[in-house]
Amino acid sequence: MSQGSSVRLAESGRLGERLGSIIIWLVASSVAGVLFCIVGDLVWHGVSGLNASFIIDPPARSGREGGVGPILVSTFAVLLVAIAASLPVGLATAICLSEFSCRESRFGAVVGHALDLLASVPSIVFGMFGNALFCNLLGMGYSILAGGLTLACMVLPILARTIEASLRSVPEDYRVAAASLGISRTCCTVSVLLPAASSGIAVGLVLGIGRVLAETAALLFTSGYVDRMPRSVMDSGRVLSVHIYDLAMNIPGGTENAYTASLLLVGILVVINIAATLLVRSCFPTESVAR
Amino acid sequence: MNQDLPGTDHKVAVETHELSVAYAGRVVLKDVSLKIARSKITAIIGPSGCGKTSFLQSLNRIGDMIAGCTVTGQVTMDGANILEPSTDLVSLRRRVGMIFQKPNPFPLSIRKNIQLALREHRIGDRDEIDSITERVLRDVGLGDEVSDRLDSSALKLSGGQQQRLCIARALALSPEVLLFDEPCSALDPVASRVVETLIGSLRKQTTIVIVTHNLAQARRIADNVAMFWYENGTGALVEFGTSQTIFENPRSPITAAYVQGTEG
Amino acid sequence: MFHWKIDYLASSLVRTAAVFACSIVVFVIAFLTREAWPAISELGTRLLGDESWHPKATATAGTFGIGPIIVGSLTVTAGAVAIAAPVGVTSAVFSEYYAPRGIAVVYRRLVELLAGIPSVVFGFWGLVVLAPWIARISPPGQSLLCGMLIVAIMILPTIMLVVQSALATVPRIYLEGAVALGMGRWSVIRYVVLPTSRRGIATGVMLGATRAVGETMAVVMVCGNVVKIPQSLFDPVRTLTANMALEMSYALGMHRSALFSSGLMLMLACAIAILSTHVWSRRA
Repeated sequence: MSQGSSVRLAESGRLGERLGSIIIWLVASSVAGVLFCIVGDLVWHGVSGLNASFIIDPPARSGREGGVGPILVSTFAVLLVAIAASLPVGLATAICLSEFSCRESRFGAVVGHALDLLASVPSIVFGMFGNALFCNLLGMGYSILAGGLTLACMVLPILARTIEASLRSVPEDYRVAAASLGISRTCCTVSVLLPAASSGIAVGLVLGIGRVLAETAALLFTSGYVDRMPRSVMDSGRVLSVHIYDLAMNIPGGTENAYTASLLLVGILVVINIAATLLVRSCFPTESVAR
Repeated sequence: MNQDLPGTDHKVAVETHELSVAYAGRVVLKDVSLKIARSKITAIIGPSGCGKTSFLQSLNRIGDMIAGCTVTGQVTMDGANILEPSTDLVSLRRRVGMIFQKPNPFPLSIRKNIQLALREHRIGDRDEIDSITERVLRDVGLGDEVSDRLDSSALKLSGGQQQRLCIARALALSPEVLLFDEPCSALDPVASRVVETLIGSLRKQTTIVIVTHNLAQARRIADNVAMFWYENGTGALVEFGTSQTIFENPRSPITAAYVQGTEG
Repeated sequence: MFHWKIDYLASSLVRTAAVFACSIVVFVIAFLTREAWPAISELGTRLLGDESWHPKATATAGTFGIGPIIVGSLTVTAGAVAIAAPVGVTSAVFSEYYAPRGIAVVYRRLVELLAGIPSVVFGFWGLVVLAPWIARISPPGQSLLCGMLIVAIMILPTIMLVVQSALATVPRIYLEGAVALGMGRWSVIRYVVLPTSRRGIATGVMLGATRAVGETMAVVMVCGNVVKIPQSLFDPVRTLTANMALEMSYALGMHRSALFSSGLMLMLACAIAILSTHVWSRRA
């Protein structure tokens, strides 16, 4: 990517040049330093509490003790609802934008702008919207279903746009070949293009999952705070990020478990990210670094 | 410009009448009228940019996929003008297959490459589809080469094998006409020769129209040859005749210069 | 247009999905407006004019001035952008022109990791590590400065990644031309690379600013949340997003409606920023 394609610029010996170099290296290393500070701090304080019982046990004394078992269940329930609701719509929208009549049309442009607009909405605003629509108007109350649907609206533009991009990157050859054999667009899309774009679709999915797992603000007043094991999607359920917020802000003495929960959350996200990278690399060996 | 078909005792598979092609209003091919003989190989030769590919793309209307492309005139097959908007493009493309410059197998298994279109067109039951698959692979000489790996990806084949797979894929639909758009230009000389021999042998089964840059190739396999040339950026038909006439006794000085390699 | 019946079916299916996807943004605006309407119609300019924010469920009982809160949002955003923009651009230059190839790849992975850390974790770290440090200089620690720093760290990856992709598109011939003139690396960057990619830099900064103004969790946790126009960097401050996060769960009547109207304002501001950035960068 970077050095490979760009021209190598040589240092001239002048003082200004050397000063520039020094400043740039300093800034870059301090950015890396901040990251190590944060991650190091999480690991340092959180790793001792991270064990099987923390992952399985229910929280005790408002989370100061015990684990995050029911909270993980709620987290994945919200995730499941969000992806199950947004993936079909996102996939269909992406196919519409890249394969059918919407391509290069006015309608397609409007859809694209609407998606960009949706992507720009701050997550807290999604929370208020979800509260007004799902919790109040549709009578779902604070529930995993309401939280999941709210997040589905939030990740929809990410899914639709990444899937659209990966479909568009499938070579035109396949579409022409299919047309020359008299194959329908539908069959071509389902049998040829979607499989060819599958790794890009997986990456979009992983990005969406990451967004959902990291989200807090949109869930504060849609899926709620209840930290018991949820029995159905209509129950309120506290997700991991809300748990961290609650421990840090409202529970004196909750810091230790907040560290452990943060480490767990970051760990899950990192694992998902690495999995996505490996996936791309295995499917597009040359493009992996260019993303 | 309407030139009589040499050897009129053969039946005509496709006839074009004053066929013109324009992209976004710019005419790239003007008033081509010629008759393509059934079960013969018709080669189209001429320099780059003289509208050879545009001509070919009008015969199965694949040019419809390019925005701003307009085709006027007539292309008659079995008494019907296929340029009519009411033409059923699906059945047209079943009847007129096309092979492209760059081999373009689907990123699927070898078997699926051939069977996708058969399934889509609901041709035959499972056994029939399998026997068609076997037959067309044998026809293109891939029978022995890939028989043990029908379920591995078509993209793992070599360039020449991929191109032969694309030919097999088109043959599976038993087309009346097969269009080849410089099918060998992306292949190495050995693979190119194999594909060329294959095309030559297909004239028993189907009518072939081939666009080629390679004059020696046209000379080796073509029965009839159409020479295209351009003036002011617009392509046109200069001469149409048997291979022998075009290469040994051309009427047009442009053709004479081109086939001798002094122009184009 | 299509020649298979199934294509008509599939086309109308995916079109319906696309229309549905677009309609969500309309729904969001419609619901926010619906909930915000009582406050907009009854309070009107009082939302900006009232001297303080002491909301009650009825319009007459409380005061609804979100002015100080808007100032809070703007100062945190401005400060975060002022820190993150130069650092982000410098990081992008480092990764594109200074770092040896191996380090550049690792550095980029680190920044992507930074981008993947949830905002609640940044907020938590700010609360337990950064705020106490700042408190040692000047209490209480949860302050405007703390918010600026944390949000700056959060938007840094956005800015850096956008700017780096802009740097990568600087035409090779420009660089070769400059190198042929014997210009050193620093001068080439200063006089050729940065001016050529200023559109990309502006886009990155705009995207970063939009993220900053909409950022909620980290800000709630580190800013102190006092409704007052801050007098110094060490004063606590409350932003629009923090205000919504803190009060939504118990707000009723006019109070709730006032919160929705601030949400609507926030959303419209972000929408205008994003749309104009898109239109502007596409014209390039």
